[in-house]
Amino acid sequence: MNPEFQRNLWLEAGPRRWAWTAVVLAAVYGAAVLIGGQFPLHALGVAGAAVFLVAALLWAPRIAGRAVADEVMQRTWDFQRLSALTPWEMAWGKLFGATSLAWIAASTGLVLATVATGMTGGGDRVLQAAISGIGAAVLLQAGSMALALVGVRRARAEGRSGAFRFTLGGLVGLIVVASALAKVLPTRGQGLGGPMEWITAGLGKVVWWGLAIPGGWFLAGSLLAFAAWALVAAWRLMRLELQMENFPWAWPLFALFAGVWAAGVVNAGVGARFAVAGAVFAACAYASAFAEPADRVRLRRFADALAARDLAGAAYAAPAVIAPVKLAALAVIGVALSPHGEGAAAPPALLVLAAFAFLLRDLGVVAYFRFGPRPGRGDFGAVLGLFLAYFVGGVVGSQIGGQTGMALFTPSPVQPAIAAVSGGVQAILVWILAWSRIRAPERSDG
Amino acid sequence: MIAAQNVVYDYPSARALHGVSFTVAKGAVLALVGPNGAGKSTLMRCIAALDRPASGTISVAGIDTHADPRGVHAALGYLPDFFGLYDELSVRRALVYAARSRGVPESAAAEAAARAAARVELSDRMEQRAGELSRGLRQRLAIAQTLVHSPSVLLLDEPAAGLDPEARRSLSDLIRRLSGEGMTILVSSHILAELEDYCTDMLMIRDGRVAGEGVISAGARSQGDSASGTRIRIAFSQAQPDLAARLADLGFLVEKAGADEALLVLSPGDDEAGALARLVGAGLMVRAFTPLRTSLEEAYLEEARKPAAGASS
Repeated sequence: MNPEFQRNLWLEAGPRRWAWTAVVLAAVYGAAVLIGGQFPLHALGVAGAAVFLVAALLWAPRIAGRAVADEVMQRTWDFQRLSALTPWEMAWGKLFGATSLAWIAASTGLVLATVATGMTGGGDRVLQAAISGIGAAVLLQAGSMALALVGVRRARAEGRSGAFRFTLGGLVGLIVVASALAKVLPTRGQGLGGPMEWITAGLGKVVWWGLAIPGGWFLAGSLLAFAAWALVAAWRLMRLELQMENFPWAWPLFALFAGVWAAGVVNAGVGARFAVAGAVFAACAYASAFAEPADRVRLRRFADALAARDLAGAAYAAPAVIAPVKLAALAVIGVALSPHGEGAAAPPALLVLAAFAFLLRDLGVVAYFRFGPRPGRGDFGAVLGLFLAYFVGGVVGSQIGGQTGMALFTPSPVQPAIAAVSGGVQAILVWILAWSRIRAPERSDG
Repeated sequence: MIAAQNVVYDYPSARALHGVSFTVAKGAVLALVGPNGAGKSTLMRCIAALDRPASGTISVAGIDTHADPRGVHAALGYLPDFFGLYDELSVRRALVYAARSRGVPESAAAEAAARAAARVELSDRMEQRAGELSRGLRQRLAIAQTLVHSPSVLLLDEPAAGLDPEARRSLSDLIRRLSGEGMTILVSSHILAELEDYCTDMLMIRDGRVAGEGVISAGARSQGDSASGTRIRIAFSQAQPDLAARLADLGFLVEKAGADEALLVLSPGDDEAGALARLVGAGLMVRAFTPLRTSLEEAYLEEARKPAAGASS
């Protein structure tokens, strides 16, 4: 047996915890039957779904994140990093060992909900919901662990100890993004209305790259695919923790996958597809800018490798933000080259170019703050800087120069040319400042 | 066994190591000493391949920490200054997990755990939870976890910190035993008097640089220049008016001589027993024969006064 899985079973699934879990589950299901009155099966199904939601989508992701963060807090992480376990053994041992009890509780809920709904004529929807539930659980748990690993890397590189805050923030961000995505997904011309609606309501067809797919199956398949990516992320980040180097294929491929996936559900012409993919690439770029450690040693190694034309060395040290930015640039070109007259859904090429210029500026702002003298405060400084640049800049600009003034600080659809030029100039200036910080030598008073 | 060459390590806001170079021979017990914030722990983490230097190379048992960090992990045991244990696990389970996670096959894990427990004298507490152990016993368990896969190199960062005198003595005994088994050990500590008991070499780190002349061996820790040999204070039972001349005739370098007392410097090739035999053989009544060695603390202070070696910036 995987020793990490076994250790987690020893710690997390002891007899006392087993007993308490059994008591709580028995109480919940017993109460459901009592409250259900004439419809005990239906009540059990609802209770089962609720248990699954709580255990698999709330409890287990929290434990999965803490499986790494607690090792750091309890000072056992270095011991683990020295182990002979492979990164995959370490990742799945923690992921499914630490959450074993939560999975057992969730399984009872899933089985009850599936059986109850199946017996009351749920048809395909039961299977869709079960697969979607498992996919969502794995996605959230592996995502939570990946976020914890990102937090650990950042904390170490930036001389801090707290990693769980980042996990929590990232998890909330993940749910918010999932909610936002779910709302914009077209189903019968309407949004899904929220990420959980699929449990209770039937979904229409989703047209994805011209294929009409039943909404439930589309959701289940998408969740499984993103869950697989989350597992890849946890494994790749674990490799880094165990001091192994990663050739950077996973993040660019994921960004490409996410862009293609999102572009597929936009059925409003090639330009619009490129624009949506570009927005996803930009989101990936922002995520990388915040998620990667502010490690100027690695950046210098990247610059040195480039100067020496050592492309393999440069690839290993390349900042993760580069790949999604390149993809976003390709998306901008795609929008510009898309045939005209395909409908109003495609944004003007100049506006997309302006958005790209502001993306570059924003990444410069993030780098400037995160590579500052106090990296621990970099995130807050970057968010504040972006808020001031967009909101205060936009308000001041519009007060002084109306739409033209506003276009100086935001990718304005009214004056996209001015916005593109202004964004480009700001990007250059901000990156000069950021680069001066990145290149600044370390003090010699270590 | 350990070779560091020009190691530079940067934290986000400051450089912690400035071109540190040194080597440690197989079987040596190296005391890594220096003031707080000197870079000892950072250096240990780099040797353990847990942190990657900005430049320079480190090899452990012939394995480069950058090229094969996992190979280095397998070759060594590392106990950080602030270590943690799985408090809910019994000593047996903690050691079995440590063995399994360090690559010991499942069939041999129980035996490896028992052997490691015996090495640190924890065999009688195998069923006790780690959280119930005293600080000294926790330290022993942590060391047992680092030893369970029989590494060839052991890195101990401030292992005696917070231990009571009895636990410290027990730790010293353990390190001596491990050293006797041929393990190469690197120990950092502020308690220099204890390092004296078991260290064969000393390396002082100051402001991220190697202080003085680098690694100095215990044999060279005699008063005066190590290149000129050990100094010996000798007292004779009878006064000799021509003592200086007689000693010079016997081939000794006489630093100072009175009627019944002398201070000699042995040639680098001379051993102390041979010198004593020559004196007795010449009919001199030797009352006391005292090789003059400095304590580790004195050597530390002496090194601290010398300019840094191997500094690159």
